Amino acid sequence: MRRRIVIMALVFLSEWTTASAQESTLVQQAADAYQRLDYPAAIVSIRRALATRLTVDDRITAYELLAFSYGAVDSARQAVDAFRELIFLDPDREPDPNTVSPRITSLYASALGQVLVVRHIRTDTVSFVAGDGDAVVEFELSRPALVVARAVGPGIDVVLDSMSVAGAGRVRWPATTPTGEPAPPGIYQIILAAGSGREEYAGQVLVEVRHRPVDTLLHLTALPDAVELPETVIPPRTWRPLGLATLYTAVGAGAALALENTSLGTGARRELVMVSAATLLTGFVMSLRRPAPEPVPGNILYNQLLREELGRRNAEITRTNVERRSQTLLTVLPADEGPE
Amino acid sequence: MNRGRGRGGFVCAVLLAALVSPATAQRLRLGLEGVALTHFEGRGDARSEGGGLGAVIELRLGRFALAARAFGASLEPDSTDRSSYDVVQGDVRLRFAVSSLVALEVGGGRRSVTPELAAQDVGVVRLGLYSETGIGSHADIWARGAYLPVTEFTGGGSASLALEFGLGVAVGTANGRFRASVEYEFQRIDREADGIDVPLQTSLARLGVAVGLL
Repeated sequence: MRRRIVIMALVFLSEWTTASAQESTLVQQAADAYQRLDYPAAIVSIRRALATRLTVDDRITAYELLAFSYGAVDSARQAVDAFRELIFLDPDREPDPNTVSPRITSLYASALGQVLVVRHIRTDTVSFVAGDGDAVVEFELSRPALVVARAVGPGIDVVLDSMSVAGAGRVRWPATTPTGEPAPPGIYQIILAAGSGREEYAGQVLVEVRHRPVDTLLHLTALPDAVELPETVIPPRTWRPLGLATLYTAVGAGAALALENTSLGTGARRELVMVSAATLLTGFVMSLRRPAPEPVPGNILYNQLLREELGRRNAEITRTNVERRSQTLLTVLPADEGPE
Repeated sequence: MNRGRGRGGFVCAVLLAALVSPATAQRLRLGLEGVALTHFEGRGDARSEGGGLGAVIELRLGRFALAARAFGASLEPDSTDRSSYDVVQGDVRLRFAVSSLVALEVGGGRRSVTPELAAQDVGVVRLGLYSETGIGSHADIWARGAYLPVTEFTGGGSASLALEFGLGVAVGTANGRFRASVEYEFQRIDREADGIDVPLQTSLARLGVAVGLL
């Protein structure tokens, strides 16, 4: 039984493939006739092809060829009718004004003015923190109409906006659920339903929503454009230590010598000489030594202010990071764009 | 009564302000010293020389500094008809820094001699000025002068003039933990007993090392 079904399926597929090939052949014949400027033959081939079951792409090509051919033989009404069918099938397909005659493009414009379609629906890839941004969908209407925009996706079906649009319009989607939560990752349809009187048309664009944690900020180790100043400086070498040693020795030893009791003799100066020599020697050595660094109060205060500011900014970064860790970065992009 | 209480409060306030002043950091030092001294007493050949060892403790707190030191030394008289003797001397000095360079200094000291009457035991009260300043990296120099308004002797008598002078220098490590010092002290006391001049004069050199504990 199963083998029978398989055989039947293969037979059907084979016939369908053959029929499609024949239909494509008719479209190709029409295109060849159009290239030979044999417009009546082209029209006949297209009419025959349209009477069969064509693929959407072949149907689009067929109506385009038909409109061009009617335009070439000055059958404006039929050309506009064919363009209208083409516009319904593919609103974004239009004659290239650089290669197509102005007569044909004017016929296309005439057809476009008779139908209501949503065209050129597009959106760019955008990333934003959930609740703090949105994706923008732009579109054009062939005629002024009331547009209702909806977002439909995993567990979500929300109306985004309802507005009257003439010409170009745009819809913003915050990519959130009705409760304000980030929309779950997945593929979403942004449906733009246009209505004017009894005419209705709905266009859509598929977008993908991806989730990513929000990047946290690095803590600062230094303030930008602010450099700490040296808190100590080495003063220039001076003879001040020797001068002070000489002064103190002169005062201390001089007073002792001056007030020495001369009636007791003058033989008790070994201690005085020893200590005075040591004092002067110390002053001399200290004068030769590299002076010790001295603090610079202004620089110390400046550095302290810098560190306080750095601490304040890092505390702010810490608070921001705590907030960011609870946030989600949403990326909304056209559905068939880019790898994960 | 109230006036006395008010005066006491004023003194307490001054002391408190001095203690919390940042003029000088808090520091405690303990040190050992080698001492060389020459002592004259009386006229003529009453000269003695010798050396010994001593110890010092010094505490600095705010504008105040308290130093207590003592040493023992054996002295040998020049004269052959006098026997050698030992000296033990203790000194206490309390300083109050009135500026970054000058401090008032008060204190007392006592020198005892063994055997008794080999020389005069002396007790003094001193009142003077002290000046200290830094010279270069971790080195200090100081000089002091004091009048000794009160002097006492075992042999009696009194001093018409009693003075002290000193000079010292110290070099320490950067962290203030260790410190070596050399110091000179000169003391002159014009003693008069029973109408006879019996002057005393001491020259003393100290070479010390100290450890900072705070």
